Amino acid sequence: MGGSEEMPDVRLVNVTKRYGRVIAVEGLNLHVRDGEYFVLLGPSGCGKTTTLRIIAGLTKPDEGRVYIDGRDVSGIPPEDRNIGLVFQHFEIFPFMTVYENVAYSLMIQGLDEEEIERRVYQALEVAGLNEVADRYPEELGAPELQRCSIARALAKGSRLLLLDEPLGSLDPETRERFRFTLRSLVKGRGLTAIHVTHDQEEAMAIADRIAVFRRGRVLQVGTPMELYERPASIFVANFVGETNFLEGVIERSGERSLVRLRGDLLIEAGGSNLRAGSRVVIGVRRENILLEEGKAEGLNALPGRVIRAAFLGKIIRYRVELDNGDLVEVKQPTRLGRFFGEGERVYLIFPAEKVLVYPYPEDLRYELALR
Amino acid sequence: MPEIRLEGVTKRFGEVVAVRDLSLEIRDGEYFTLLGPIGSGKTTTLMLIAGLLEPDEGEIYFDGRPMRGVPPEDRRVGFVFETFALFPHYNVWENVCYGPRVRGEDPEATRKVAEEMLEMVLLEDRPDALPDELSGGMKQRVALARALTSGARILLLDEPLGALDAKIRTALAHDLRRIVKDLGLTAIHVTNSVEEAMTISDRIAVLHRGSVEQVGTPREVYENPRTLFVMDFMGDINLFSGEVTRADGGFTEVTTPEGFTFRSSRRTMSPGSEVHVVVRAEDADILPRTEETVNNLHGIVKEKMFLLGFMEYLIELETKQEFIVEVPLMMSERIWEVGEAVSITFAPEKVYLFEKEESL
Repeated sequence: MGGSEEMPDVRLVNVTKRYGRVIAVEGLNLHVRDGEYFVLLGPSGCGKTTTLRIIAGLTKPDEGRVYIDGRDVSGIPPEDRNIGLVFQHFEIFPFMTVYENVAYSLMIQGLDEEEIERRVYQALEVAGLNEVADRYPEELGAPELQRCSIARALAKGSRLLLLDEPLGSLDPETRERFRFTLRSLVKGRGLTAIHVTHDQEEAMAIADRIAVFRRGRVLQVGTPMELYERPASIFVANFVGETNFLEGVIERSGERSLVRLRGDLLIEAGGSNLRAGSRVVIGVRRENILLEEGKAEGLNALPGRVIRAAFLGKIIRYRVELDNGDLVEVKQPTRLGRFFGEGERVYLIFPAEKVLVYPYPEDLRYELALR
Repeated sequence: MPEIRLEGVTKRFGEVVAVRDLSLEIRDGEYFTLLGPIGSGKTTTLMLIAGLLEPDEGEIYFDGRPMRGVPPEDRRVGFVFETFALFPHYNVWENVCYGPRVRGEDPEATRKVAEEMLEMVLLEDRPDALPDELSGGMKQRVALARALTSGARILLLDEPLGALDAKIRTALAHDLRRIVKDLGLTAIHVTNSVEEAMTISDRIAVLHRGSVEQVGTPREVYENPRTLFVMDFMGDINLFSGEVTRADGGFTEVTTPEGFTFRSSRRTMSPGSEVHVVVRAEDADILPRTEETVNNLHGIVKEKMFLLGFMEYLIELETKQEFIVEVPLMMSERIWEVGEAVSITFAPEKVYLFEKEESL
């Protein structure tokens, strides 16, 4: 692979935006590739929506440049950027049918009727709305309304789709199903999509790659699997997925490290190059720990007691108090067929390669805050 | 601690029956959740319990005492809504003390309770903050402290976590349950999120079109859904329809018009019955293509998605129908790629059958 196929479709170079003294985004560099489903993920106020608005041309950056298909779009107004916008609230005209809503912007552009009809029906078909073309918005549910705003973006012929919390107004069950729909719509047509959400589960499910934002900066960019398996910081490990953090001291470093936790519990962890004696925080995901009754020899196991067990359907969630007093949350697939009751003694088995080692941060509370 | 009973409660708004002949018993000290989609009657039920609405038929009892005609302020209930409903010009402390103060309660006693409640919601160091200076999760904790300071023994929560970021939602769900349990309150919580209901509740009532479909612990409702609606609402399912062609030795065999054969050990139904067959996404497994035909479906991987701790696959069957499978990563020997030819398999005890007249 090489040449123009790999040319980034959207590129942000050193973009900064301030509102008065508040920095919304700072020194932002991002490459969204051609045909990629890209997600901007982060808590409220992290700058993800500002970034989307800057790409759309709805907000003007104070510094930096935005390139779409290699072209500097800094002076180009939103309507000339050939982008489709989809928001959380559908912004559908209530007094127009689905067809008319989708046709509206094409009529404004002054296309001839035949061309409009062709494009609208094609977009409606892709969005699965053929059968409700003549209905009014009030007769439709939230998922159809959101399909309608997507169809509108498609009919315009935009190759770049910008979506701001597009699933936010759907109820949780529909939201999960709609992820598949949205992704296949984008992928099926070879579009590039940039999707903003605060919901990490949604991001993981839908994205080719994710940029994790915090306080106006990008902390990490990667595929869902990369962010999941190799979160670069405590914040990312905490924000993406559900991770337990325990404090300890390095006993031995290398491809596998040995960490001494509180109460002199020893645990084998993943690689690190920190000096023996360094204070560290280890992170291990809730679903990477296995609960067992007895201690199997030679395994990386810590003893504890179940203090809360909650049955959540496909998973069972346990809170376990280790013998050193530290609390650990564990998620087990119900399918394993094992249930532990509150008060039961257990061993927590930690696969060493899935235990991440971070140097002890200056401010652990800040690292662990969700904003 | 109060126990709440609804007996044959109906509430209409004009032609629309919002709640239909609804009976429920909420136990003393229980964390109880009304779970259902939009329009299922869960919020109306909560408002009836609060006394903000009166039932057209039926009766509501608190500790055996009928509540008809008892105004909300005399029911000792505290409210928490989705939107925070704090007084924006009052600080945290003034918001929390508002109820007791306007009722003219002893200031010293109010101060003690308010301090205790702020500590409970982990905001004891922010009494002077104005609502605007707080995050969504913090505002909701202030609303909770305010509800508790008025001496409520029953806490009514209408989508209290709905306006919060996903991550904060989970953390606050745990706090809510802890506070209710520590104070020995009875809580009734309305939500449309299955995960939230499962996380927080002692028992759940699943509502559908103004009626209760099922009441039980999270595990009971998940493992033995009484209706197709409950099963569908609780998670990702794969639904087929067919006819019972054999029933013996504890197995019921169903054949579908597409030619699939399902074998279930969950329920015995007589041959000739028209049934719905349901398999949950998380109860199915993916194998390399097999020749098996019973409880084996064949298709191509169409989409794969990475969920936290799970891989979700969308398999396109030979009939073009889609089948969702979720496999825990911990139990995955390999990841299947889009385009691969595979078979889907599931155990007979994971094949749920429902009478055909139950439709979605």
